[in-house]
Amino acid sequence: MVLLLTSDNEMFSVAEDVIKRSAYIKNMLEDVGESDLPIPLPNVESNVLVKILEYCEHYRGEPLPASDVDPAEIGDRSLDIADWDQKYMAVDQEMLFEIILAANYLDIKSLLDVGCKTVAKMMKGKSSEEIRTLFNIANDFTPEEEAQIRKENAWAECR
Amino acid sequence: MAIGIIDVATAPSVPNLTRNLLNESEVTDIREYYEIIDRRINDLECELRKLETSRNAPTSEHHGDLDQRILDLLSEILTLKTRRNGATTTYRLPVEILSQIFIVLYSMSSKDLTHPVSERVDWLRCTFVCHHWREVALGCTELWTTPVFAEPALARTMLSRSGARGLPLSTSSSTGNRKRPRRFYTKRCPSWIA
Repeated sequence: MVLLLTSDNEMFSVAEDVIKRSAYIKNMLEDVGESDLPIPLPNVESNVLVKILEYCEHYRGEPLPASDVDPAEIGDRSLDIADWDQKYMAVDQEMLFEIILAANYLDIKSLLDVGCKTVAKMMKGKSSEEIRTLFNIANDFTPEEEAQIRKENAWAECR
Repeated sequence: MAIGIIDVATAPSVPNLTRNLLNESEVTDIREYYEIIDRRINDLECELRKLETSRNAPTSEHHGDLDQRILDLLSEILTLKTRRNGATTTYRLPVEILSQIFIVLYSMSSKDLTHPVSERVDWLRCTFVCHHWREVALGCTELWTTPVFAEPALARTMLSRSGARGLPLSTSSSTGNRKRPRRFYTKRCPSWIA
C-alpha cells in the first residue's frame, strides 16, 4: 500500500497498482523504493484526490498509456469520450478544473486528456460571448484588439 | 477558493479608490470579490458613458481634459476586468493545458475542404474570449499550421502565427492508383507570409 498525504492533511492508503496510473507517483516509488512515509501532495485536496482515486480504481488493471506521445499525433487522436468518463466528468466546473490540475500534477495523461476534451466539448459550437458566460470571464480587450477581432470574427461566423 | 493570485501591489495603474475597494486581505469569498469588482466596473462604465455624452455635446468645451479622463477610465475598466478574470477557474490552468484544450477544440472543427470556412475555423472563437486566452492561443503555433487558403487574408494571418513550425501537407488522389493519403511536413516558405 502507498500512503498519500493531501494538502488538507488527510491521509490515504492506496493500492500500489491503483495509484501507479500516476506517472509522478510511479516514478517516485521506483526512485525511492518501499517506504512507510507518506507521499505529500501539497497541490491536491482530499475531495479531489477521492475523485482521482475513483478514476484510477476504475481503470485498475488496464495497460498504462505510453509516456512518449508524439505531439504531432494530437490532431489524429480520437475526440470521443468513453461513456464512463463522461459520467465521471459530470461534476461542477470548480471540480472539473481541480481534476484537470490534479491530473496534470500527478501526471495522469489519460485523465488530463479526458479533462481537456470535456472542456473543449463545453466550448464547441458556442460564441465567444457564450463562452465568457460559461466560464464567468469578462471581455478585457483593448479597443485596438476589438477592432482586429471584429475582422477575424467574420471568418468564424456563418455567412 | 483562495484568491491570492490577485495581487493589488502589482497593479500600479489602478487608482487608490479601486485599490482600497479590492483590498483582498479583507475579501475571503470569491463571490464577494466578484460583487465588489463588478460593482466598481459598473460605476466606472456609468461615469464613462456620462463623460462620452458630455464630450459629444455640441456645447462641449475642454475636449482635451475629457479625452484624457475617458482614456484613464477605459484603462482602469480594462485593468479591473483583467484582474477579475485572474480569479476565474480557467485562469488557474497552466498555459500548456489551456493550449491543449484549444488544440482539442481545433481538432473538433471540420477538416473537410468542401465545408464552409466558418465551420473549419469555428475554433477561432476561443481567441475572441479575453486577452489572456487570445495571448495563449496566438502563442500556440500548432493551431496555425493548417492555413485556410480559401480565405487568403486568413491564410496569411495563420501563417504569420505558425512561427517556425513545419506545415503538415496532405495529398490524395481520386484517379488511377489509389493510395492512402500521406502526411508529411515541410519547411515553410518565408515569402508566403509577405
